[in-house]
This record gives sequence, structure tokens and C-alpha cells, in this order.
Amino acid sequence: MAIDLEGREEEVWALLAWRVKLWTGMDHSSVTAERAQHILDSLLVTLELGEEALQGNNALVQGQVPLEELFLLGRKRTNVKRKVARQLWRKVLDTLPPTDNLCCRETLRDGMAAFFRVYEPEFSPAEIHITCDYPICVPAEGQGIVFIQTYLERAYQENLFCARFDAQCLRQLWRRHGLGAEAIGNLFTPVLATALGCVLMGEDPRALAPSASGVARLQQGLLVKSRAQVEDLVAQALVRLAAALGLERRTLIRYLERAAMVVAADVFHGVERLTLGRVLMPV
Amino acid sequence: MELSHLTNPGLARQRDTETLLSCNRFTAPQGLSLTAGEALALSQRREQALRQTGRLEFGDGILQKLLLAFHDSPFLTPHDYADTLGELTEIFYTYKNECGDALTDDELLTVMRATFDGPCQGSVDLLAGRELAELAQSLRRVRPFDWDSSGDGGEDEEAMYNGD
Repeated sequence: MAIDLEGREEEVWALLAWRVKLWTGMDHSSVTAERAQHILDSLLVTLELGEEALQGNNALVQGQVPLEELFLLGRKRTNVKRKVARQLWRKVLDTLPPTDNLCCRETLRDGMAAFFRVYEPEFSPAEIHITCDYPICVPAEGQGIVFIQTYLERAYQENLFCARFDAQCLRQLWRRHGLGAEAIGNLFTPVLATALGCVLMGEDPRALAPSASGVARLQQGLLVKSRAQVEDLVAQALVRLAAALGLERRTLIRYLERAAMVVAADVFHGVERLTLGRVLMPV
Repeated sequence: MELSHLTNPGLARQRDTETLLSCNRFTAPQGLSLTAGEALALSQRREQALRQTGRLEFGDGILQKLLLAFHDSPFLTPHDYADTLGELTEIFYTYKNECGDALTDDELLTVMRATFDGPCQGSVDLLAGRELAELAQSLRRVRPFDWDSSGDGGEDEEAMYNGD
């Protein structure tokens, strides 16, 4: 979301001057253009969050709110988001999947610890200072704390989903997919894909062990389907999977619906290239 | 949004010119004063120096401070007063960069004034080419620029997530 500041340049300049003064401790009347741009970018991120805080509040119409007030609202929202993200992080740690995958564990444990240690919402709210090497199925958008909160929220939903399966079944599945200790890849996607595949094949999704014959049949059956039809079948399979696993959390179901479309794309391309066996990896 | 969309040189120039002219009452006892044309030229030179050094100025700017820091120097004369102020302005911004902003405005002005009156004996060339260059070099050796390192842990935050 980009905030519209057309015609409010003088107000932005005054706000920027105030932020630069604070940043320099009022001891420097000038700063490098790079520093000023960085402070401006940070300012804009905070203003965007302030605008987000205003949404739904009919008493405050955007454009009538002084930017300084919007900034203070944004700063407050940044701090709330940081607290929420921190709580989410604890939940992510409590639900880490049973794996020795270094990328997953180091990003979610050590990387996030570093983020919360160095995150500086006052002058660098858009910077996360870490790389988040562990990929999640539906990539997070946004900058700074918005990105981290989304990332952790999604990682948490992925962990919750994986926790529905037996640890031994998960390890065997990840081994088949080459997701060992040194691998860099999302652990959740093959679990969801396999479970959905099993539902489509009429096999037990909890076992995460699709049969070779089942995968071959599914490959044949889907060959004549369009992308939209495959997506539709996968969406229907998700409903059956959710029922079979007793999934009720709305946030989890919503995330699975988005992730299922990623899986549907993988399945469609797998069928198209006759490599569905590499998506579902039969036992 | 880019910074270039925000700056208003015309407004800053007018403000600088008025400020510089108002300083004539402090510098008159030393026989130094600026004409409106000189004040405007000085303001334009400041803008150019900022552009060349890649800096942006906020608030009241440095010109008035610089003028008040140097106005009673025995090496300023009425005939080169405006020109010397222009050169000192350029030197100021250059060495703000060279020193990596390790010196505050007041610290740099104090050093400039002391060396201008002392070892440089009123030579801006020596000030820029020798004294301040040596200062910047020694600052780089002994004081790494670590302005970007900051942050707090916020260890005691309350649990607030309830998005399950």
C-alpha cells in the first residue's frame, strides 16, 4: 500500500526535518542525501501504518488528519505489530516441525531472535536486518515489521498443519523429497501436496504415503483437465482434507486455501510435464 | 517518494538571504557587512555546495552559525568577506562528509575557526588542504563511524497475539 501525499510536500518536509533533527540529536543541521532518503523512507512506512490504523475509523477521514498525527498513529501501530510478532514467534518456536533442517531451525529460531534484538522501529521500521532464508509456501509481502509479522503468521500456520501428522511420517516424506539437514526448501508444501494428492487418489492422507499406482492413475486422470479444473479439484480436496484432519481454525483454513493454489499450480505443471511423481513422491 | 519532490530552493534562498542580512548588525563593529546581492550569492553557493557534497540541510541552516563563528576573526577583511564565507561554507560541508558526521556542527566550526586563525593564518587553502584533511584522516583512524548501530531488545513485551 503506497500512501498518497500529493500536494502535502511541505508537510512531509516539515515532518522529515523533525525526524532528522531527532536522528542527529539536533547537533547537525545537515545530513547526507542517502541518510535523508533513508529517514524519509522510514517515515513513509510509518505513515502507511498510520493510514492503515485510520481505516475503518469514519470519524477520521484521510487527508484531514495532520501528518504528524498520522505518524504518531503509525508508530503506535508499529509497536503493537512488534509485540504481536514477538508473541507469534513464541508460538512458532513452540510448534517447530520435527526436523533437523538447519535452514528452517536457524531462520525461525536464531534469525528471528536476531531480528527482535536489532529491529529499530524509530528510524528504521522498514529494515529487518536478517535474510529469512527459510522459504514459506506463500511468500510474505511488505516491509519491516509488516513483513516479519506476515512471515511468522504463515510459518505458524504451516507448523500447525504439519503438527497434524505423525512425526515419523513427516520425516519419511521429507527424506523422499530430499529435505534433509542441509537442504533449503519449504517443509510444509510437500506435506500439503501429498495430503491433498492422497485425498484425490482416495488414499489415507494421514499416512503421507501415496502409492505409485495411485500417482500414475491421478496423472492419467488429470491429463485432460485445464488449470482451472485442477484448481477446483484441489480446492474440493482441501475441504475433504480439512474434515478428515478435523481442522477448524479459520486462520489456518484461510492459509491452506492460499497454499492449496500453490500446490494446484505444482500439480498442474507436474501433470503437464508427466512428472507428477516428483510433486507427490510415492513410496 | 523521492527527496527531490520535497525540496524548495527558492524558499530556503529567501530565508537565508534575510537571515544573512540581519547578521550585519553583529558584524558591523568589525567593519564587515554583506549587501543583498552578496547574501543572495552566498545562499546560492550554499545550495551548490550542498548539491556537490550530496547533503541536505534542515532547519535554520549553517550560514548564520558560520558567519557568527568567524565574524570576529582578524583575518577577515571587508573586501573578501563574502567570498571567504562562501569558501568556508563549501569547506564545512565537505568536511562534514569527510569526517563521516563524527563532528557536530559546533565542533567542526570550532575546529575550523581555531585552525583558520592559528596554523592557517587566514588561509582557506591550508585549512581545507592540510589541517582539516589531517583531522579527517585521524578521525577515520581512531573513530569508526557507527551511527547506524542501534536497537533495543524490548524483552518485556506483553503477549498480544490472538489470531488463532
